[in-house]
Amino acid sequence: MAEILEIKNLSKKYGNFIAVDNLSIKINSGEVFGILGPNGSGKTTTLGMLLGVINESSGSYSWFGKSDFENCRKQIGSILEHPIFYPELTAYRNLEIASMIKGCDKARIDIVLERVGLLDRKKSNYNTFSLGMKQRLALASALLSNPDVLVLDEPTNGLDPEGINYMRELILSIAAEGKTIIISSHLLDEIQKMCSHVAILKNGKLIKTGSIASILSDKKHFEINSNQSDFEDKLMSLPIITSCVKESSYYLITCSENVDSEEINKVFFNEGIVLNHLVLHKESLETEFLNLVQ
Amino acid sequence: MKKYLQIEYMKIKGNSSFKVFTLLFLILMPIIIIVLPSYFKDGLFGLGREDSYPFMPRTASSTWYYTTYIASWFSFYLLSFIIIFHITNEYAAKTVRQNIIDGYSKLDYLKSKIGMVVFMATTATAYVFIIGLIAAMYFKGNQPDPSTQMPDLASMMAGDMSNQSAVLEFGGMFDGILFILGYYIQVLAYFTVAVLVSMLVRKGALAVLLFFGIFFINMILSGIISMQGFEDILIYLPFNSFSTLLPNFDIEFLIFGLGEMETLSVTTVVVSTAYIALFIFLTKVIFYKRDVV
Repeated sequence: MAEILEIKNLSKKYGNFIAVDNLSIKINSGEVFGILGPNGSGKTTTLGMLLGVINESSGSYSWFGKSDFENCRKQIGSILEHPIFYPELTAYRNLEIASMIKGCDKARIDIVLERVGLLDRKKSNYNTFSLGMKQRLALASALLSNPDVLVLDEPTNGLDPEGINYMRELILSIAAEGKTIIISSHLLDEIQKMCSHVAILKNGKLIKTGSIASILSDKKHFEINSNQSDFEDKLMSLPIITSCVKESSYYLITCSENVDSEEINKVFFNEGIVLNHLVLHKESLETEFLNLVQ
Repeated sequence: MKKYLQIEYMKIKGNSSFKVFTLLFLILMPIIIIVLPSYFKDGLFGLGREDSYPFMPRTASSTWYYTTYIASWFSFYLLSFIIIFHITNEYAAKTVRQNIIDGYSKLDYLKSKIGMVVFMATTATAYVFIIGLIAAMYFKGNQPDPSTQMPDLASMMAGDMSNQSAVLEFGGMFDGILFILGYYIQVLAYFTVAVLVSMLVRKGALAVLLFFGIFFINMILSGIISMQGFEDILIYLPFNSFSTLLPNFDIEFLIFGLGEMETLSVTTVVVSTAYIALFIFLTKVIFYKRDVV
């Protein structure tokens, strides 16, 4: 897969405060890449640098393998933080300004408005729009030049559940066309539902990156139990187990190695323990994220 | 450049301060330059004092001078505000950032703003030219009284206005047309200061304060320099060089039609143009150095 974005040792400092610290990430074509992190972790600052509105303190990035960002601008559609338009202008006029800046055909305006379900409101002033409609208009603006890459910063922020669902479906349908999408969010469930890959930031530092599947399978959790009296003592002495929490009807263990259920069963059998309950505990991104950032 | 101007026009046309300030400029200026002088031709409020209205043209060059001089104040107070509020509103609404995200480079954004101020200065100058031309044509019809003598300043100062005529003489209609060039450079200079302060402080009220602040600091510095006896260098202060493009009110000339009208000084044009270039350069440095927030 072609490399869309390469970030090399990117940093941003405000005085003594380091907002982004030596960040290095690669994003390939067709990926839906999530940038996760708690508030203040440097997500928006990172995207701001990648979109040319924030000057980097050190490091570099290249879009489409080119170091000259100016020539790549129009291949990237973006929403940064929240929708920004001229409030006294209509949806159409706002997109007309964006289309002139992007240098794209004005015929695209109706196409993208229809795509986001706002064609019937194209003559309405922007300041009459609800937050959900503003977000959709921002997405329409980002799609105007039919870009190869979409950069969406908190695209579902502030939306009601219906709005979140609408936006998610819209983004997934765009991703299905093969476009590369970079999304930042702190809504972990949303990221897990939409993204193929993720980078987790904390205090401006990258603490984990990879496909969601690989991140969740790095450490496996199992629910286990046995009727044997010495089970609990033996459980704590096994080197393969890094943590063990007693739940109501089972023990939740975390293994140090990437092992499957069969191997777990074999390990316990070799210790003379017969398990009467062995279930792979499905980890959520939220649990993994909390483990990583806390 | 056409694309930049079209985009700027689309952005600004819905802005209420743009509409108000532009209307004031378009309406008030001809009232002061043409309507009031014709109304007060026979003396302010009918008091019989023919020269009691200060902006009464007497020669073609004084028509161009009054027109550009009055227009320069309107430009300073009204048109500069349009630029300040347009740019600072863009910062407040974060549309500067959105324009960059949408595909403008920083250079594109700067070009659009500089293009806008050059266009505004050119349009304002064209409008002032038309007003000046109408004024020149209108007042040319007021032929001087053949019996008019050059007034005796001392007797007039004592209140004897009997020999004074509202319109003393009129040469070629385009005498003094160079003041139009002075106006163009001056208005462009004010606009570049407006762009600089707007991008520097990014907040409307602060930018207006700074705009006047620079003007007053310039005045204070002028006073200090004059007191030190270095009047020759006054012209090198920015607002001094801009205001000298249209020479300061000569009350003697104005009321009594005496003396020579100063002409456009080449040094002032050069100094003002250098300041315009400097302000544009500083704007670029500030805009490039900072994050677009």
